[in-house]
Amino acid sequence: MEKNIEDFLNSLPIEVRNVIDRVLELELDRLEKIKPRGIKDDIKKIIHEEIKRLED
Amino acid sequence: MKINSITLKNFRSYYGEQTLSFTIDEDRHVTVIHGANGAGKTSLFIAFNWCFYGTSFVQRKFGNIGLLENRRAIREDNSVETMVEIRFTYRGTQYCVRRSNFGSNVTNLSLRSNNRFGLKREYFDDDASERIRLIFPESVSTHFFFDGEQIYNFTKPGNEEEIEHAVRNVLRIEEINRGCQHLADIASEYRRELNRKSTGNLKKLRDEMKNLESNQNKFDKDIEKNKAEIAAAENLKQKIDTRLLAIASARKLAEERNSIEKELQGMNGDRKDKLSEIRGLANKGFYSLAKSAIRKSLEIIEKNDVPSSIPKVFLQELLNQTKCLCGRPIPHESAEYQNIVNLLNSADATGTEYLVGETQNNLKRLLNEQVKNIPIQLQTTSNDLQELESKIQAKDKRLEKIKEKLGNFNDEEINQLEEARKRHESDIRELEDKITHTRGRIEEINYKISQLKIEIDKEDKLNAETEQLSRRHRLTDDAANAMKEIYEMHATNMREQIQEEVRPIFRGLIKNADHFTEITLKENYKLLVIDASGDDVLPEMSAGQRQVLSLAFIGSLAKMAIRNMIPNLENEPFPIVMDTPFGRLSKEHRETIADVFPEIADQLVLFVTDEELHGEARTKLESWIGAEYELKFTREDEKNTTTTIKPISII
Repeated sequence: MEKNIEDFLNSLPIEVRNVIDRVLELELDRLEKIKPRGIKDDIKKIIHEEIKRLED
Repeated sequence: MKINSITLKNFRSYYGEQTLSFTIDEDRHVTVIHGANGAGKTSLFIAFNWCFYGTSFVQRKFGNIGLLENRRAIREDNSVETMVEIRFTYRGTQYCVRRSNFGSNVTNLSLRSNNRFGLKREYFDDDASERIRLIFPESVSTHFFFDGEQIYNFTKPGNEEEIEHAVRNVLRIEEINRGCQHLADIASEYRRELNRKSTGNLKKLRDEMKNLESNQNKFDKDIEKNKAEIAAAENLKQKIDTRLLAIASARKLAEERNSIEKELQGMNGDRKDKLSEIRGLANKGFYSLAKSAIRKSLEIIEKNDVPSSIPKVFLQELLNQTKCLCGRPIPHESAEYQNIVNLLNSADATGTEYLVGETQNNLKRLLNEQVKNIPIQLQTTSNDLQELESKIQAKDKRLEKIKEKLGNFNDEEINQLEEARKRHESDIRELEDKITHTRGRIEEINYKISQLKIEIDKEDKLNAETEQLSRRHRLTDDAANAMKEIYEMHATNMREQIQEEVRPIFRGLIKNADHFTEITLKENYKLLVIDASGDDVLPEMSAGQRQVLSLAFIGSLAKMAIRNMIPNLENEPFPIVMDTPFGRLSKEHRETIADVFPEIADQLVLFVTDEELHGEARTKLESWIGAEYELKFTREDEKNTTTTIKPISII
């Protein structure tokens, strides 16, 4: 990953970074494995998990 | 990935089964396939795409291509098999992908693999399709299978969309953009849900609370101000009293008044206490009403034969020793033993017994002390209060007399002092009334505040869901914005990288390279080719020059695709398959490209016409060629031609 993007990612709050990492991971999976639809539901699950982690 | 061979069976112009093997030699890695127009070069090119990705992909890419089946074969047998099989090597594993049609539209797909340790696997249809896409995604394939027309159009001015699509696709920009879009969509879903659920009541209630608290504050300040005014008036009254005491004729009356006022102060305090005592007794008045209920309760408790508490330890000891105090044995199965067990169980309830006893005592005390005594106490206190009121009245009367006397005194100073004193007293009373009134308002406000707090608590609970929704919205929105920023950074980085890659390849391939000083890919993916005088010369470039630029672009994209799309596989070789790449090139450009382009790809398959590749260009390419074929076609009738693959021996 390019240096400037890595620096930017490191400057983000951990929960925002986690969401971005996992959304990109999902997109890659979808691109390469032709995952079925429902990516938005998967992203929502990620958001809920992160919020729950923050609340805990 | 390196392509080893392609086998076609009854595919378009290829009748029967024919195989073409590609060179996989590292040095001689160019396979040249010669064929005149209509000889079957494009069919072979289509066969690659059909075998990997199927009919719908081919139709999307090439438009209507007519029948896939060979006409002669169909004539001979209507249910004839049409098949393309490609053998390739990827990460050391041998693969064989085979797609076939049997007469109708039924397509079978299989993928067989044989890894370097001899482990064999076989996948079919959807599984096979998924595996192929994993190895060689459709989006990437576009940049490895190029036809002449595509190459020509790639860098045509006004074709920014084509370049943008290619760059985004290859350089993993698209998935960032899609992630960005998904997050933005979800954020707006949350926002809509939030708007629907949030009533705005909480804000209204909080505003109201703020308002009440501010009023309460204002009233508190009013009271403080009034108190200060009372203190000032008291001070002036005090001064007047001091002066009156100094005047001999008024002293006696003034002294008497001071003393009565002090007494009255004490009496008023006592009256307040008595009133409060009466209020307290009145509050306990319900005991009298509950008198019969209390008596009834006591009767019930006393009638009940609540067993007296027997120490649990003592009973347990009897059971342990299985004998009575008198020494008589108590056997386990005997009725006596069972009695003691029962007693022990009831002894477990000693807590209840204690509570019952306590209640009994309390009820007795209530009946004797409260129920009987309260009416007596109330009567006594009322009598005391009445007596006190009479005394206060008498004192008040005397005070009025004194005031009257001093007011009508035959001395102007005394009259004036008394007049002023009256005014101050009246002011003090008025201020005290104000304070009482303001306190009443404050009490009202306090009540409203307590009610409002209950409502806010309720609303807060209702809003817990909204709060969570709001947190989710915030996180999604933050992630979407951050992702947008990452997308911008990545796009800029990628554009810069592409520029860096294209520049040397283009300069290596183009004739009079010094004429072109710069190649720039703008933010809107508009391609600029800058000449020595700083002008964009892309629109004026010849078709051949543009084709050179396209080839430079294709070479760069292929390199970057491997780097970006296939993680940790930077060194994996990838083929470039090109259909009539030299079509629009001038003689000089053909020669240069034939000389330099093989260096860009690890395996290069070129479909060429004899006109495209001859003379010096052919000579330049010679040392790279590892396999060479000629596509011979025979015209059977007006509509049908048959292609035969003929190998050409390499010298």
